[in-house]
Amino acid sequence: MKEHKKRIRRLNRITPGKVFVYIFMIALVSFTALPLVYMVFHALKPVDELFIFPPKFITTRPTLNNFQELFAAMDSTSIPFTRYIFNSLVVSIITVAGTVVVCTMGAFALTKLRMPGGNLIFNIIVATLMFSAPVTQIANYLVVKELHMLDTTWALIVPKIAGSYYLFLLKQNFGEIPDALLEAAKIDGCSYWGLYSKIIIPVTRPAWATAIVFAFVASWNDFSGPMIYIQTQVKQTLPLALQLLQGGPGQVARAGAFAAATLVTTLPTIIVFCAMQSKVINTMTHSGIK
Amino acid sequence: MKKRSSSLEKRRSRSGYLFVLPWVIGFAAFQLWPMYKSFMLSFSKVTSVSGLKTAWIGWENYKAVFADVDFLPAFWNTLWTTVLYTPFIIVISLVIAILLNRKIKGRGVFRVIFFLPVLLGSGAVMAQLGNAANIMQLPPSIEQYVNYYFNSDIANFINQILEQIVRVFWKTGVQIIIFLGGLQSISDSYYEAAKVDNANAWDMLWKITLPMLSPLMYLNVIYTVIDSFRSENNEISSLIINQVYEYSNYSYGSAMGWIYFVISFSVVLLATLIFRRYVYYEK
Repeated sequence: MKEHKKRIRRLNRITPGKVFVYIFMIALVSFTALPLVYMVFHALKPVDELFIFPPKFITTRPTLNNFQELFAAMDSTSIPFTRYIFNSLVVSIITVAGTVVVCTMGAFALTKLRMPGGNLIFNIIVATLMFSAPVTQIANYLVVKELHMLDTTWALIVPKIAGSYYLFLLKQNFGEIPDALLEAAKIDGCSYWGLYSKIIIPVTRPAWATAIVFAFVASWNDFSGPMIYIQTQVKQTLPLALQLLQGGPGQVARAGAFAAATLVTTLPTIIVFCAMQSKVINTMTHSGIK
Repeated sequence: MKKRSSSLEKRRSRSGYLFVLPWVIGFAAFQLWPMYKSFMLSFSKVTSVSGLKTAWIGWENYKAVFADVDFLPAFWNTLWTTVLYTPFIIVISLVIAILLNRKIKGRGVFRVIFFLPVLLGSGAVMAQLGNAANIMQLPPSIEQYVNYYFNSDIANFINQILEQIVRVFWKTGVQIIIFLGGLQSISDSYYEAAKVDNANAWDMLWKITLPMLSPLMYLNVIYTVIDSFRSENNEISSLIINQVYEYSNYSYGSAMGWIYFVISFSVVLLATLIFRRYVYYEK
């Protein structure tokens, strides 16, 4: 009993180890959090503070003027900023949905249906993971052109869906699911589609939640895709809209709007990660994958 | 009985092909075919850029790449950076993942912050903030503070170390998440059994955590190496991008890309062979 009490006290006590962990973490965190903190403050700065040299890190007079300006300014010129947000959302959501469906199906086939030639497919995947993207970009352009997808939203979606990296990641995770889980359902007369949709998909939630995060970030931040494939300004996505805001005449006048736009562009990726992060952590422990 | 099982086998294979088909189509159209195309290009000369008309010239482009004064130094630098940074990235992300897996207050926030570089790093946003190394120059710059408080030799030394920390750090986001996932999936019963046997934290790390994490360690090493090779910031990539976009030297750029691919592939293969021996799979 006494021993037990002592142990509880030991667990709750602030030990030097714990203090060290916190100091270590906060020191490390300050490196990575700095740009974001800077971005937030920059977006909240009144116009006169944006141009101070040396720049101020923290603003003392926060204002939402930049955001008002962003949504107003783009509105009067040509295309509202909200249109770019809409475009980006459409592209990213369809890309992510397609990626998850196509890649989970592929990973299920490679790990659980184990057809002849499956290993060959997997080895090709691993090999192509290493191929440098700029080299294939020209041929990619030709394919997109042949499929008559140039200057359409599809050009930003379709080429991304069959990603090697996602299939690799999912295959690694699916491999850990015991076959016994599927055998039982199969004896009950479950079809392969049933196995996939009723067992594999619910059980592997953490794995594809992770794939969602990566696919979303890649699609949302994609700069070269829209630059190469999209000519019509109305179909453009956020990264290109940012560039439009930053350059050209009137750049100085739009500095405030640009600071706000940067923050608006960054937030969704952070939100998606926050949402999925809790899911990843929680489902991992409840998924029955041990 | 035997016949039945083989027909079942056939049915399973057929479903397998059906399931993997959408992926294979997309992969063939947008990765395999472009790779084939660039392979053919690397042995050709572009005679007309508009229709991408080509003429076969054999190994000429490859010979030119090896004669290129920029190629080999850039290649060695890229390789050296990869070999040098990978162990640091793996160890640091493992340490952070283990710390994040402890029941400390605010670990959710910590997790998000450690992933920030992945969210920001590839975005257009970083174009405004500059690349990873420039965080050091963010106002009020850490570098300036260091320069202010120390004499120049020591300041230089400290700044260099800080810069390396930032560089390593900026690359650990994905690896931390992968390790965290692995740590979460290790059953508590292993640790409880070890505690009963009076094992200390250090023993548990080496005898339980690391062996159980080894498949993910393997995955992370491969990921880190590939990530470094594929990074558009490394010297070889910028060389290729320059050739392709600035000078429209498609075939020369393709040859460079293929040489780079073959060599980096060999490096990853080597890493695979080394690490596979140490991977422990739970039966």
